[in-house]
Amino acid sequence: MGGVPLMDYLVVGTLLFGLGLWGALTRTNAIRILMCIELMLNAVNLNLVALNQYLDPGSVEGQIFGLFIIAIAAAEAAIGIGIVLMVVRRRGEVDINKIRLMRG
Amino acid sequence: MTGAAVIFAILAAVVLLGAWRVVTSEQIAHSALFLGLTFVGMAGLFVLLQAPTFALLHVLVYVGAILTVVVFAIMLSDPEELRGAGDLPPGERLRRRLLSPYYGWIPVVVAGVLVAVVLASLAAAQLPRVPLGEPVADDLRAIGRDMFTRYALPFEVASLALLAALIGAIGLTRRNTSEERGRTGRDTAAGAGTGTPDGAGRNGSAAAGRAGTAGAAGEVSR
Repeated sequence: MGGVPLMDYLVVGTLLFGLGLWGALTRTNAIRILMCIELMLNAVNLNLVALNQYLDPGSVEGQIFGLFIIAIAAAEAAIGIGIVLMVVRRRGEVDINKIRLMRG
Repeated sequence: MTGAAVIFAILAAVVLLGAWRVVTSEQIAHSALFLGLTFVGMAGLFVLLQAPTFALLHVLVYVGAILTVVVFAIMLSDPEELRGAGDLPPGERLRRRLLSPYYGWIPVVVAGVLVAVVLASLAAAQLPRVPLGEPVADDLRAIGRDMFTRYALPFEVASLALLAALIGAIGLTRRNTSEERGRTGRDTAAGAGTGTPDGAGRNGSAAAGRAGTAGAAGEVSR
C-alpha cells in the first residue's frame, strides 16, 4: 500500500456505494437490485479493511468485522434469490413494478 | 507515481467501471459477469492493502458462492429478461429515463447528495497518508485466533444466522406437493390451449386485459 493514501481507498468505497445505491433505486429487475445491494456491501468491506490496515495495522478487527459482513451477505443472497425464484414461479415475473401482491 | 499507485488506479478503474456496467448493462447476464469482474477487482484491492486472507475469503464467497447463485437465479427466471430492453438508441433511452421522476432523477439526486456529503467530509478529515505501523505479519493466524477467542460468540451467532437463512431458502424454493400437482395440471391445460391459435388469442387478450386493469389501478393510486 506504499504510496497510496488512505483517502483514495475511501473515495473508491464511497463511489462504489453511490453506484450501488443508484442501481438499487432505479432498476426494476429484482435480481439486479440484489446485485446492487452486494455492491454496497462490498464498498463497506473496502472501507473497513482500508481503515483497519491504515489506522490500526497491528490488529485484524476490521477484517473480522468484514468477514461477518460477508457471511451476512451470503445469507442475504440466499434468502433474496429464494424469494425471487418463488415469486417467478408463482407469478412469472421478476419486474418489481409488476408484482402487486403487497400493494398498499 | 509509484508502482502501488499505478496498480491501485487500475484496480479502482476495474471496480468502478464494473459496478457501472452492473447497473447499466442491457442484458442481466452481462450484469452478472461484470459483477464478477468487480469482485475480482475488489480482491485485488484487498491484496494491495496487505490483507491476502481477506482477499482469498472474498473471492471464495463472492465469486464462488454468491455469483454462482445469482447466475442460477438469472437462468431459472423469466427468459424474457435475458434479452435486451427495447430497440431505442442508448442516448434516447437515457434521456427518457432521466426525465421520469421515480426511476430517473430522484435516485440520481439522492445518491449524488449522499456521495457529495461523504466526499466533502472526507476532504475535511485529517487522514493519514501512510499506515500507522506495520500490518500483522501472519494475518490468517491472527484472524483465526481472534475469531475463535474474542469473537467466538458473534461467530456462533453468524453461523446460526447463515444456517437459518439456508433452511429458509430451501423452504422457500421447495415445491409443495399439492401445489405441484395443481400446477402441473394447469400447465398441461395451458399447453393444450396454446396449441390452437384460438386458445392463444384468448390467453393473450386475457393477459392484456389484466395488464390494462393493473395499469389503470396504478394510475389511480399514484
